[in-house]
Amino acid sequence: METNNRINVERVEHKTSEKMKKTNFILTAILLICLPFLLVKNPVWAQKKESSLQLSFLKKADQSKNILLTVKARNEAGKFAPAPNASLSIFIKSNEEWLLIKTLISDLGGKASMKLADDLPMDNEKYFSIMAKIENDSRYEDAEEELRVKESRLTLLLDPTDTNRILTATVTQTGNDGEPMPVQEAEVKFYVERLFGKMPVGEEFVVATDAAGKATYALPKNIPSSDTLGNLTIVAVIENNETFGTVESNASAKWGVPLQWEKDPFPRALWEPRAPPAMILFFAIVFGGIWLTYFFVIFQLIKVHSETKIK
Amino acid sequence: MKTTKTITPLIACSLLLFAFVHQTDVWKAPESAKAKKNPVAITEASMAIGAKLYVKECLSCHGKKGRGDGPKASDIEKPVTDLSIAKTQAQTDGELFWKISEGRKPMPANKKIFSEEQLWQLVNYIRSFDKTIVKSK
Repeated sequence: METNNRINVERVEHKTSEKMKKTNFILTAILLICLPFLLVKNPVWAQKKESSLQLSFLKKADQSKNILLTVKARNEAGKFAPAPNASLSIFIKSNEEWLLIKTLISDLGGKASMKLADDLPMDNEKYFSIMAKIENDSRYEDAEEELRVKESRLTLLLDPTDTNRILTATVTQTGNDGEPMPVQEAEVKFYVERLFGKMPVGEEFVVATDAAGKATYALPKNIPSSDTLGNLTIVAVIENNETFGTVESNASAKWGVPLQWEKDPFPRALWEPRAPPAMILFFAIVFGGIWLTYFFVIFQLIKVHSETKIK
Repeated sequence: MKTTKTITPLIACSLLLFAFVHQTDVWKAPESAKAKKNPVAITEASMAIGAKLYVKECLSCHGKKGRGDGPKASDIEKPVTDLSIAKTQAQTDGELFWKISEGRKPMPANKKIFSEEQLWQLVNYIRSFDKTIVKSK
């Protein structure tokens, strides 16, 4: 008996050790397969993302010069998506040399902007050059974008006494002699400023400038104003022009249809503090029905209780 | 044994399905379209028209340099084709012409918007995105 037991125990031990050996072998194999991936100098998960940089120039109505940057990076799905926290270096060309003027960090939407100085160094053709770079960023591949812009001036004139309501935009650039000269064939877009953006003034709101650098547009007389006085702010824009970038100008006049306030500013409605009468009636019937049911049940219970007492 | 019998056909089916899905993802132009010759010569004027058409209809998705990084690219469910890479540039003019004309969701069919001449001008302009040409300059 004892010998048999020993033999059985030995068999079990042998089986267990074999199983252990198998498991060890599998684990070692997995480790060996994974080892090259772990030791790779620049593994897939640590690779820098392919980036894209867009640089544009904006001259606002207050004549301030600005640059706008958009940084995107290719994500896992292969799409270019906004790249946040990218470090950007901004350079300006002066005497054929690039000078670093500022470093920026892109926001969550991959955007960054900066205001430029009023007196920018220009080349012989009156252009100034800006360059933006992504350099040595731990997350994004290097990228650069250059922009060569010529300064222009856009003025918008409205004559408040004009019954035809003509908008006149004039585009000029500085000539080689330093004097302003008209810009021909520049596309000017006319908008009306609204609370959340700009609304085109009409269907054909894009007008090209003539030989005198002027673009005119007759403002429709039925545009509603955003106040009771009839004030309208008209915006003229040259958008993403190859030579001048984006240039804005604005002017105001009482050319809008004044806003008429209703007598009752808060009529009864679902989205107002005062509910509509039909809704009040509906809920009164529903809740009244529910409470009536409770009372009826209680009444019945009392009745049953009193009847049993009498019996 | 039973488990193996059940798993094997399942793996085979999923592999087939995977292969089918990837097969259907490839966008191939018909042979006749591939062989079509470009009748519009690359001139400054035709490139300028091509550039204008590109800015109007293509830039919003394909981006300024054709890399698929346009302002609307991130809103589209599929990655936008990079027009600057060798894979795209290796295609014949006829192939590009056919793809621009016919479109494939989410890209619209441009044959309704542009004339045949304009489409060829667009093909010529797309050739300017070739990275290898830019490098050799």
